[in-house]
Amino acid sequence: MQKAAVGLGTAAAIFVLATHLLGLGGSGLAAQGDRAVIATYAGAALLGLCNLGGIHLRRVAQRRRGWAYSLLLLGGLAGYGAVVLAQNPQGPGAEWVFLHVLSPLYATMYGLVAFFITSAAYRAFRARTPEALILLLTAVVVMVGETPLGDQWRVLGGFAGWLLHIPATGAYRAIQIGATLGALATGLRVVLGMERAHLG
Amino acid sequence: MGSRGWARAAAVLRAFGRLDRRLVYLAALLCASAAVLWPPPLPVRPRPDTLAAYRLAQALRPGNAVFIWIDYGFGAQEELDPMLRAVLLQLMRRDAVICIASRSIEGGQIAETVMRRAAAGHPAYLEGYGVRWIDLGYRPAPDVALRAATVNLPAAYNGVDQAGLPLARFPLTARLRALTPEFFRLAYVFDLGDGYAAMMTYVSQVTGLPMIVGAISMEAPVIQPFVATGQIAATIPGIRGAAEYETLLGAPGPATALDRGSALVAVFILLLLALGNAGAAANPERQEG
Repeated sequence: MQKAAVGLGTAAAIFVLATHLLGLGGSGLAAQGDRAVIATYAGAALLGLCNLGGIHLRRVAQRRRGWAYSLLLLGGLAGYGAVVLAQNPQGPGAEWVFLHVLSPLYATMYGLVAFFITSAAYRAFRARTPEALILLLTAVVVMVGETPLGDQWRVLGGFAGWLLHIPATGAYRAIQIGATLGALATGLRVVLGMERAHLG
Repeated sequence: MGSRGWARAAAVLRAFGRLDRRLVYLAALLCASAAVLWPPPLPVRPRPDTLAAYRLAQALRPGNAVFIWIDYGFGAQEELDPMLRAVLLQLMRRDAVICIASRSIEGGQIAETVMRRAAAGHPAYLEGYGVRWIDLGYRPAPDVALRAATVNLPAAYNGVDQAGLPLARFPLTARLRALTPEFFRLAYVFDLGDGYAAMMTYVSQVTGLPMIVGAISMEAPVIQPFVATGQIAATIPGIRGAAEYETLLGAPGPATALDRGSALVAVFILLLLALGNAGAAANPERQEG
């Protein structure tokens, strides 16, 4: 079974590479491949839904710790599913859930982060070592320089801009190159069947 | 100051270093409220990044088509909605044709809401759905959809828009057959910092169509290498970039207010950092804050 999965993955990878390299992006063959990818996405979503539902159903049935939250999750799944099936994903019911339930919940969650960051900055951001002092000063310069105060104090704003455009960009570039090479190596290992951890 | 005075000062500093976190939360709440309600009237000066993005859109001619790909959800709305609004305002002033698609599942809804608000003073757009603008919404496997859109745009979105209406009934989609420089002049990607996936997908799938990236502040340095290589034409960095955009448009709005408010919050955090460090310095044997 594992060999079949590896073979299928390798064949799919070769197919995708071939459509790219041979310039077949606009062909019917590539369109078929795209449909297969979408079907895989849908299948994965369905599998995820079944798995999530199963885990939380068991938790409710066994009255495990936090089972009430699981019940809430299952209620949300069933309720939203019913709304979508009764209308459609773009219907007024789904729109109402998006705008009046999801949006405020997300806003609340991200709003809370600001409080935690503020508190953490106060409690943990201490200049105990020279390195920590440099980090602290850099953070202060970037934080203040990236507000309109940076326009008032041009030197500060300019220094913050320099920090973001030169050292930070250089560091990110190094990370990006490293991560991409790593992803390429992992991808090759998966395609060649050398990496099988994801198959369980 | 005598030794008693120094001791008292040190005690006060130590107390500042041990503030109850609930007090910190309360102070943060008051500061954030003040920042939103009474933002300091600081001038906002556009920086080169934003200026480049603005000039690219200013070069559009009436009727030129622009593609907007949205990859953020409700969590980043506070930062990216004002930016999207400012960009849409400029595009409407340039009389551009706007085609919006989404990479995030909430993106279609967000685009529709922001567009309708931005179009309040532009009746041609408010009433011109399908003629002046269209929202293609979200499609599962959005990266695949983008690639397919470079060949056949309506087919890539299953021939329907965000609301499920057939694209064939809209005159606009008859014109915009593919996401290529033949049909479009400019593209925008509004990207939340989840590994800049939308931007990377665009860079690898779409060729020849200049792209402007609107990103949250945190992501700005990540994008910069792609600007240097020319793969990205320009960026609008965070809420400050959005405020600069509003200044360039001569229409200060939510981004300007938020950006000015951020100055107040920065000063507040600076104060907390100073207090925390002063407290720690006055109590050197204390290891944890």
